[in-house]
Parts: sequence; C-alpha cells; structure tokens
Amino acid sequence: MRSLISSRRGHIPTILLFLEGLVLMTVVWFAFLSQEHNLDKLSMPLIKGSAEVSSLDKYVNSVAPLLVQQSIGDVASASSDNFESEFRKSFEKRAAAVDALEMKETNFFGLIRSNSYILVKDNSGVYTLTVKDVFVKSEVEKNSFVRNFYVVVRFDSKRVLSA
Amino acid sequence: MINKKGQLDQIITSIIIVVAAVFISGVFVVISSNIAQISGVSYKSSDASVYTNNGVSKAVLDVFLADDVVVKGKSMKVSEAVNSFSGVDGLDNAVAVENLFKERYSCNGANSLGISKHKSFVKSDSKTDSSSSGVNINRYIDYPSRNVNSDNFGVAQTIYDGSSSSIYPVSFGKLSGASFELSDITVEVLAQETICVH
Repeated sequence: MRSLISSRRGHIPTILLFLEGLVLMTVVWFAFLSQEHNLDKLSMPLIKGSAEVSSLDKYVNSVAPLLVQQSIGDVASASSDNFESEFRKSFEKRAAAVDALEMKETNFFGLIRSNSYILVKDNSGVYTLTVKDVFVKSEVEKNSFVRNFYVVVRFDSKRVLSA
Repeated sequence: MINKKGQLDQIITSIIIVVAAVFISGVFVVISSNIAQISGVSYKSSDASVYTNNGVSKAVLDVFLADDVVVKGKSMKVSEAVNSFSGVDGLDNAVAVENLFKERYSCNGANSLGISKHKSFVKSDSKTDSSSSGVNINRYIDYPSRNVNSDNFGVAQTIYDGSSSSIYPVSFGKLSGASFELSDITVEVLAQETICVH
C-alpha cells in the first residue's frame, strides 16, 4: 500500500497529458462555435460574381452583332470597294457611343477603339469579324471572376449571318 | 532489479488513461461534427438572377440609347431625346423614339420598351391627422402595350399608396429586363431577341 501511494508522483505527467487534451478540445470547440455556419451568406458572393460574369458574357456576345447590324445599315449605300473601310468607321463610332453610356467591366470596347480586331472577307462576300482575347470581369467582396473568350460575327453586305 | 509494483501501477494508469483518451476523442468528434455542421443553402439557383440584369436586354437597351433618332429633321441620340420628354418637344420626341424602337429593335413586339418617371410623395390629412406616402408614375412609353398618344402624354398616370406591393399598374407592368436612369427618367427594355429576323 505504501509503495502504491509513494508511486503516485509518476502518474502526474500522464494525468496532466489527459487534462491538456481536454483543454485543447475545448479551445477547438470555441473555434468551431465562432465560425460562420450560414452557407447562404458564405456562398452568395460567389454566386453573385459568377452570375454577373455570365451576364456580361451574354451582353458582349449580344452587343457585337447588334453593332454590326447597325453598321451594315449605315454603309448600305457604300460601294463594295469602300464597304470595309466605311464599315470599320461606323462600327468603331457606334461602339464608342455605347461605351460612353456607362463603364463596363470588359475590354471589348477598348479593343474595338484601338482597332484590335480582324475583319476578313471570303470569296463568297461573307465577312468574318473576330475580336480576340476579350475578357469580362466581376468583383464581389474579395472574390474576382474573369472569363476570356473570342467574339466572332459573320455577316455580308446586307445582314448578320451568325454570331 | 525491476520494480514490478511500480511498473504495474504505471501500466494500470496508462491503460485507464488510454481508454479515457479514446472515449474523449470519440466525444470530441461527435460534438465537433455537430457544432461545425453547415446547413445547406436555402435559396434556389434561380435566385442568382436577383444579382444580374438580363445581358441580352442590357445589350439592346444600350445600343438603342446610343442610336440616332431624327426629330423634326434634327438628329440626336435617343438618350438626349428621352431627357427632354417632360419639355415642350416631349411628345414629338417620344413618338420618334417609340417609332425607332418599333422599326429596329422590337422584332415585331418580341422586345418591350418602357420609359417612365417616378416621383415620391407624402400626403397629409389634417382632419384625420394622418399621412400617406406613395409614388406618382408618369409612363411616357409602354410599348407594345400602349402607343404614345397626345391625350395623356405628360400627365401623371397613376398614384399608388405605400401599402401597394407593386408600384406599377397592371396594364403597364414593370419590365424585368434591363434599365437605365437618365436624370429622373427610367428607360427599361425587356428583350428576347437581338437581331430581328424579317
């Protein structure tokens, strides 16, 4: 019995380890409790950013054929020799007018303004307008979304064929 | 000499502690998984549309506002023409703007245009000592529901009190596409098509 009592000191480190484990667990539980558990609040910025970038994508891909259609109308009376140069002037002018309405998170209008697009005519008189490396961007809180794509519009001297 | 009694005590203590540690670990995992539980989202995927306007409608709206309209032989941007709706030339400008939309952007009525002005008001009643607030709407263009006409152009169309869940009258309806604020006039477009196939 005496030896049992006298050997108690050796158990102290073991018991202290156990208590230390309890303290660590308690700290972790406090950390868990302090976390935000509402997934709606956590994920809504991501959904909003993703939806905005999709909307901008749709916007750019809709605005391009509209501008082309209007420019075709502007140069309807131009001869075939001048068609391309007159089209470019009208297209850039109309794109600048749309861009002036309000700022948008895309470089599409900047590329048009700096003449960084390709206009190619094939043998059948069909033009292909290609704007490369277009991006649209959305920033929500600390999240940023960027989408890169090409814009391609095919048209002839009378109407838009495909976009 | 090996102190068998000391070792025995240590073994007993260790076994007890190990069992207790395993038990506590299990309790820790169970409690932690309940505390750290993240509930699922309560919204539907369609709710994301709350944060976006319609890309197609916005494209048609922007191109329309930047387009040129001719009013009494004078060419101006549609946005300039809309800004003068409440002035002397308001009706002429409105007819020209609506005709331009009909001709080039409506795609035979598939796309809608709404131009209106809102003014909030507060009305007090000294007899009952109460007050009510609402929104006064002047709907200039409501195509294709109604055409611009001279009878009620420039006249307030509807008054709603603050209790109404919708400030737009049923016959007009709020377009849920894209909108643009020009001074105190709002231009809205709801578009389903961009290039009208004739």
